[in-house]
Amino acid sequence: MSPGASGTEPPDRPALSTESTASLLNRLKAGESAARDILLSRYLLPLRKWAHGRLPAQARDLMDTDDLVQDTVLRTLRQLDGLLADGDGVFLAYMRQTLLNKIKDQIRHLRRQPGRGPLLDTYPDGNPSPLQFAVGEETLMKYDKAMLALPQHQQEAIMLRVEMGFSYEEIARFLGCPSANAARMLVARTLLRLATAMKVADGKPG
Amino acid sequence: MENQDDSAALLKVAEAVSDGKPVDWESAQSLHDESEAELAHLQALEVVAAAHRSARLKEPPLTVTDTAASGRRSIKTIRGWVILGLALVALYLILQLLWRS
Repeated sequence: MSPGASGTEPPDRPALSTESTASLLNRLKAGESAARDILLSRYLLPLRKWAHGRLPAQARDLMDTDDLVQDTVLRTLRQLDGLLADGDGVFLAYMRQTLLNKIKDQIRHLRRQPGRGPLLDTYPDGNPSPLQFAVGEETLMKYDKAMLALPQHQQEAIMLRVEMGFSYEEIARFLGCPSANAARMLVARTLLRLATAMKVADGKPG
Repeated sequence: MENQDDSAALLKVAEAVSDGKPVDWESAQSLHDESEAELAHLQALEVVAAAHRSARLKEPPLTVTDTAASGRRSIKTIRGWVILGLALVALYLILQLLWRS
């Protein structure tokens, strides 16, 4: 349902902890395994859906996206020192880049398997992912590049709202914003910065 | 002053994109021709947001139990069935030996 007009619709997810992601990561580092369960219940499902959108149908049939996402999330949560050293709330930005790299690696691996027909250069396995199909390869590449140009907490705001469909209330809780309205402003301003970054990627002055 | 108006208008457009509300791009372009490139990219971002929304809706609904815990449960279930199968084979072999003797 979300993101919807008000950003307040209940998402197809369970009630979530009110704690910020950064705080949960710190608790997990202190040895509280309950924090890991909350992080998993918060992000595993949306990340799986996100990854499905990034994978071409052909590749989806050949690899278990759910396992890929779950392994990556669990592995990341085991290597917390690097994440916490980078500052608050970089978990999702880190996950996004790691998963994008893993998906590319998996597709390259599938491509090299014997017995596969001729493949196009544009899409690693010859077929576009649902997102590539809907948005267009060039725009999606520009978007991904512009995302990387943003500070990580801004990347997370976009990821939570635009890519995963969390409500503003949830985004405020996860990122530690004072209110849903503050989260809404953060997302809108970041979208504007993203548009400017895409303009710069086009070779136009920002 | 005009720049400030443009920035405020662009922010309004960005909010609408974030909320999934329809934007009248033609009229926005005509009112703020200085910000043509930004508006074009916001329009591209609207498409990106809609594509993500649509991809989410197309996915079959997953439940929260479908997580690491459920994975562990599946392994336990499979292991249980394998043990039961082995036990039945062993029982069959023992009964066969007893029958022959």
